Amino acid sequence: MRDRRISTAALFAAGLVLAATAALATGEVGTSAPGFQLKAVDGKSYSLADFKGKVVVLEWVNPHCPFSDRHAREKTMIELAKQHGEVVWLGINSTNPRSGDFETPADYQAYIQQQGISYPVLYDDSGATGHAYGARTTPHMFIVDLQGKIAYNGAIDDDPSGRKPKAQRVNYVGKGLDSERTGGKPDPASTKPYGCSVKY
Amino acid sequence: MRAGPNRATRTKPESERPGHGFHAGETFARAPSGDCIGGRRSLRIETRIAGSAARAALAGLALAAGWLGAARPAAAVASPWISNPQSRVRLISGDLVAPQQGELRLGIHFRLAPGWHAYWKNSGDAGFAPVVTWKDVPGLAVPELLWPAPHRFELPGGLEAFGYSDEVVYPFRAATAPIGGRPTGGPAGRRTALRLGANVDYLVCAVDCVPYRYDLALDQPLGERAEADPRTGPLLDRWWRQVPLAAGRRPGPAGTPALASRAEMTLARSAAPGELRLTLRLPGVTAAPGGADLFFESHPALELGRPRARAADGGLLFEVPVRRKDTSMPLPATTAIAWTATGLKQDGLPTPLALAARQELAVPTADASAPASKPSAPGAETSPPGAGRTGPGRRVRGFLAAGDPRVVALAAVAAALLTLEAWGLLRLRPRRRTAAIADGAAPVRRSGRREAAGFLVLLVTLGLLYALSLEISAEGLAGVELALLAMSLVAWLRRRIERSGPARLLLAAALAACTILPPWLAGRNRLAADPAALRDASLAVGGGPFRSTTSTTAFDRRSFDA
Repeated sequence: MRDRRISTAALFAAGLVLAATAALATGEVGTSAPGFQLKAVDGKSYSLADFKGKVVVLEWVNPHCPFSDRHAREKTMIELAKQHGEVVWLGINSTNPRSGDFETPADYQAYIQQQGISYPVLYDDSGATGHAYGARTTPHMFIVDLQGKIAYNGAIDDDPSGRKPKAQRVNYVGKGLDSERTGGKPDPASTKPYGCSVKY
Repeated sequence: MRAGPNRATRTKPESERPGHGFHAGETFARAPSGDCIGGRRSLRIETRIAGSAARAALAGLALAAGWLGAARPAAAVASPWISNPQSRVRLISGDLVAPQQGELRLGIHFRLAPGWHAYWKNSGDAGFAPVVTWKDVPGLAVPELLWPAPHRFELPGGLEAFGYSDEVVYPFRAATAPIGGRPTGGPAGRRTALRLGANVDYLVCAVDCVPYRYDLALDQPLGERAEADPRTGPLLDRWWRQVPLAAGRRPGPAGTPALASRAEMTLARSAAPGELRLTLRLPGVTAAPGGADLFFESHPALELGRPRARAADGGLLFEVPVRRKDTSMPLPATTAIAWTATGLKQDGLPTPLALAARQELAVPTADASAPASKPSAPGAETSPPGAGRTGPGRRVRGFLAAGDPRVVALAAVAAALLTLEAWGLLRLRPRRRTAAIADGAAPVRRSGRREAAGFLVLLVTLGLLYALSLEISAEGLAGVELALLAMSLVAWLRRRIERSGPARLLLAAALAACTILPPWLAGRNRLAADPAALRDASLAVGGGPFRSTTSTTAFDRRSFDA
């Protein structure tokens, strides 16, 4: 009994240390992408580990955010995901369920159909995954490379206000995926994301 | 689907888009053509003149002004306000009459609804800075935007934004010059007015964000001599004074050199892997009553964290955690860091002061977290004098170079919990003791071996606290120690309560709080890296050569009181 209690305390202490270490991770380029297992709007469960050996794009989304919504209407990400069929594209919504921006699965499904979003959108209600990556805005983009490391962290493009014609924008994620395809690294690997704050 | 503040934006058909990423009306609005008229036409909007006598007098004045070659409006030179639910915006000039050749002071004036904010040049974690695009005007250089000192806004999830609430004027410095182009009116070769136009693209946020874009315009009368506008002039002056003082620049219209200060910036390795520590020392100033703050422009390679300010050596010391944005690439040998310090108090100055500079710093080398570090060839290593000297302090610091004070604090908590467990104070179920007492048996005695183990773990706890004392402030250490003491007290009290109930639950919650508190305190009270000590530590643990770098900027402090 005594040994068991000591083991429990040791495990508890180790858990605290692990939790603190995880809390310090902020999604810097070159670090291992934090793992997650999240439920999608359609009820299916997705884990980053399921896509080991594939390039994964993570897009923080919020349909109530004008920036996220503009890119959905302009099909910026949808078209890019189609162009790069070899890539796994996941939308992540870290909106707190108590926030006015939170969407129920039924409403979200309707939005996804309306916009023709072709990739899974995952709920991160607790915000743990968002915090682990240091996601700050919607949209905030990450590219996870074949080795499971973060290869890009930042904005989708160089046009926060959407003032430029689409063809004239520098799409950082598109450029990064092209580089990944040819065995290179995204350049730039880090940009300042723009948009609404994530509603943690 | 529930209607949200911006829901309408995505229900509109494609054809309704005005060529901008955001829709007209809700998240995008453009002033109707011809509405944004300032200058003389704005008189009819902003000034009510009653009676024909007044009108006759005004006509006489206008005639006289025309005779003198200057068009002089009797009220603010400003475009009409354009309003939306979150903000109002207009273009203003500080001069009723601007000189044919000389400085022209302009501003984009915002009034924001309660709770909403507009952004500084670095918007912080979210948002974006306003973009102002001026229409080409012959004889007018492109106006330069001067950013007033920003404020910090806390957002959900520990995020933060930098900007302005309630009201802000973004001042612009422009210059008129003799034209090579066509005159805008009056006698041949002389202009009597400039038609100024600006396209303003901005974002306002509370919790939600709404972007807008407007075209603003005004007619700026010109004359031989500048004449300040009695309404917009003082307003512009007030915001101009909030533009941080910059080295070698004269930001205020009535600035006079008064004082001088030296800012010392240091970038050094931190105890945490992959983290740097930036310190900025501002001698001769204290924090103004509202508090001092430090802001950075966005940096391509470094993530500059939340600063902490404290009084030190007759000045202010800011400490900033810095992380690399890309750990797979080596940092450049040097980098420029642009900063703005606000809320500074200087004896003799009636209002808080803001300073700004862009400083070139060498980046510390031999970053332990750099993955591409090359192994040194045998015999190739050169040891600087003193490299072989080691001591307990240096070893501990060397050990800490691979850790974070928050993790050390957490380890101290874990060790303290193990101590309490070894001494039987963390027993989860009180039943055994109760049952033992009820049976008339003596309380269970802890074995000597176990108690000794408790003392050993206590020694580890004390060692960790010593290690922590090298990395956090004395106040922080005292807080950590008090938290550990409180944890022991709570555990003891909890053990004394025989029955399960609210009191035991409350004490369990208090125990949990006591375990969380030390890492938090360690994070908040982390000391700035001492370059010399870190160099020693780096050498002692074989971390390679280390450079801490300092850059100093001299400021001309100016008083802007006219």
